[in-house]
Amino acid sequence: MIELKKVRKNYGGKVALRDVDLLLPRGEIVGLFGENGAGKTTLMKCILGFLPYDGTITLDGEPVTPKNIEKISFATSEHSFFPGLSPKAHKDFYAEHFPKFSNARFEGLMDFFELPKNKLLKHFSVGQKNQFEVILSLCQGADYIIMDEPFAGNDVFNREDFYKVLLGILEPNETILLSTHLIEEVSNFIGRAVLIHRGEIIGDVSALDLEESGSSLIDFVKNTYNYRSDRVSKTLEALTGKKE
Amino acid sequence: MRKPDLTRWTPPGFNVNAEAHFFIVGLAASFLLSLTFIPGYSSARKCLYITYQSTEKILMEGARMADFSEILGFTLYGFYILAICMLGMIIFHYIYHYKDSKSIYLMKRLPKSSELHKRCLALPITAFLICIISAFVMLLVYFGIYMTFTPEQCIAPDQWQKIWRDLP
Repeated sequence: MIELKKVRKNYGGKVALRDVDLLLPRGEIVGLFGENGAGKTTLMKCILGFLPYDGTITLDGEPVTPKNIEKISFATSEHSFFPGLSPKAHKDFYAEHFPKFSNARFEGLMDFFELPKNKLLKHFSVGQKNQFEVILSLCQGADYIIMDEPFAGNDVFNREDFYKVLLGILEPNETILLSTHLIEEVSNFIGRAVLIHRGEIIGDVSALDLEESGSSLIDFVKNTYNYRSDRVSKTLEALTGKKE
Repeated sequence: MRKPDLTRWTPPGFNVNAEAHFFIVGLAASFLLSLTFIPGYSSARKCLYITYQSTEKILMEGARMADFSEILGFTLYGFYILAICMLGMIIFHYIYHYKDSKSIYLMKRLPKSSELHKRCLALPITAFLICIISAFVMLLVYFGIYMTFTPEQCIAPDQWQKIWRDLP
């Protein structure tokens, strides 16, 4: 379990995370939603130890250190692979550094996405790079897989197929924390939704609770954010003088 | 002899051949530059003598050889400049992990936390030491030439001490 207690992060005078409390138990697929600048990426980077913060973050009861960091993998739209290496060379690098690296999963996903194994990553398309980034995070052998906007630039067919494959291959003890703007698209894939707004967790609901309440994920997000559905018509009316 | 696998000592995907090529060319150029000591020394030594009847050389009375450090001049500067470039390479290796992707995220997540620093520091520091050692070896060789081939009575005292005083 990853546990965040009173996590606070400031950039200069600006508060990026405000006393965040969050539990990520094993085996959950958690969607992390929020507007641009809400603090999603900062939250993830704090978990990974990339940024200093106030408060405590524990991984299975221990602080996140090089001793246990291999339990967490990370896929980011910024990409964390080496552009000058091929997928095969990445496989060797990961296998050397991460003892639980899954070769079978790597080969399976490479075949699924039909990615070339000997071409340098810098010659891949953006979509292919994203796919490869996600593959690495899933094959590392981590218990907690953190994904920050991993599908930006991928076409919808690839994404949908990928969700299906992902649900099929995930082990019961694997946890995913997925940050994305594609709320409707992942609504059938995630088991829990966490909403962050201006550095604060403002909503946390399980898919089961949503189902029982008869509400959809997108409605939950809109309600939590106090989304004003009339703002489009009001703006158009003000600009054009026409009533809708 | 088996060629050492330098890729394990540089950032993954980094063009180690280009870096090695730069270093070897730089080292060769530094060596060639240092060889300019020889004509400098010959010229200074020549000034100690007068030529009699176009063939016979006679040592001038009271002649003083120019100090070793003076003849050495800038001849070893190639090694020093290359050594500084190698230190600059360290920065380049770290920046590499932010270029075109953020591979720094992966390097920071490795269970072996020293891996990033090993790959960024190992070769530049080795190359830096090779430069400094090469410069020192050439200094010893040239000092040996100076002390061996210069008439003893022409050598000013404290030559060895003067080297360190005049070193950059």
